[in-house]
Amino acid sequence: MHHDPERTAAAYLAGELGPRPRERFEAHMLACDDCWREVKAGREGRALAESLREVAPQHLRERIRATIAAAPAPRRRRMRVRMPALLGVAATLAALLAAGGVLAVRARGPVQPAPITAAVASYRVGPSAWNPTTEAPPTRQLGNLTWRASGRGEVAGLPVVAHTYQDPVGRLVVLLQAVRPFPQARGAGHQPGRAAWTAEVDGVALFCADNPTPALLLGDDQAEVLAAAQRLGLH
Amino acid sequence: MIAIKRWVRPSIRVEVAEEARVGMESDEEFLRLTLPALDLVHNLARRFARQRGDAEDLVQETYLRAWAAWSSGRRPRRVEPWLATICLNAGRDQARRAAIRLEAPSAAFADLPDGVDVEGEAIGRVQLGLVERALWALPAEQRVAIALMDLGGLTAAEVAKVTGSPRGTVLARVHRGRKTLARLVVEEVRRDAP
Repeated sequence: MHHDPERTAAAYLAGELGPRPRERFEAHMLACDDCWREVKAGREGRALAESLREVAPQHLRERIRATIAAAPAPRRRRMRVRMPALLGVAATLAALLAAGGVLAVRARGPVQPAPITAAVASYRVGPSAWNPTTEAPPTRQLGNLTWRASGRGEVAGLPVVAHTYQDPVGRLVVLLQAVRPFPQARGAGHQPGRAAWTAEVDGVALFCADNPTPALLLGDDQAEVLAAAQRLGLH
Repeated sequence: MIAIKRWVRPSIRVEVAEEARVGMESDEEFLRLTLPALDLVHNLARRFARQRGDAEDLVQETYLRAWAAWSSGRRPRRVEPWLATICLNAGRDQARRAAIRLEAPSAAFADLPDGVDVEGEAIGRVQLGLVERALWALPAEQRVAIALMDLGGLTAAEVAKVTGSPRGTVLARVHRGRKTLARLVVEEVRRDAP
């Protein structure tokens, strides 16, 4: 049998050897310095690695619970719609689109309250949508998001202060702060007993909360938006 | 899309209604099954992100991705390897986004001589921070394999499946990583000794 101390020691330490090979190897190890050293070093390395094992902090557990609770309602069966049904939908949609522009507009999704539509549109425009202001942001760093600009403006008549943050790859997260609450987006996920809601409108992820002040977060990445909300303490 | 479903096919409308009901029932079920694996995900995320805040963001992203998959009907046979796979992919995405080269060894542990004997006595004096730094000095494949096996408690077969590598390769990575870890730590302790 080929003598390979490293390979055999690795299998031995992982419990991958059967009962008889294990007994043979243990007997062999007593007389073989190379195999003894391999097993000893492997055990010590394993003990060192295991010393780094941590219990996840309680606040992280709560954060995960809150994140899942705030995440948009699942769409469990969407992928299971049979292809003929999809073809039927497509054919009917084509007919509806051909029938008139009004239907085409409705087909994009539910009509949103004007401030929500305006907020999403301003997010698409970017920081230039707002009048520059010297207003200080709540924080200049939100995890991996860095503050870029602040501005003032209105979304459908609702005065807001907009703070724009950017992640390392250039995606924006915008925090809109208002003096009165934002209307809830249609189709929003809303937890019973909680004021905060989340939604996706025209591909933009939204998170809205009224505490500590009315605030609406917008971003391309839902996880990034939720992480920002968590760090800002919005609820 | 919701508006389309309302107009066109009654059968689809029924399914949409069912989605909402199943969703409300399943988020507690999802958390009940996946939260026990939080320590594993957290330990794995800590091997991808040096800052605790970044690691916690990665844990959150892992759970969001898992929740999205769960919501589309995915039910893993074993939760731990499933979450580990998602965390691994999310961690790689995050590393790519941040343009971090995981393979780069830290300068503190570069060019250590081979053949340093491991001394149990010296290891006993080691601080966790030193071990952590040594773990970061390992090649990414070895660090991840060690995180999955020694910190996550997965079997070699599960690690092989999670990482898409043959089981023999996984065993070799873990073993070599452990040996190097012990060697780096002992060397560092000797360097710091008066």
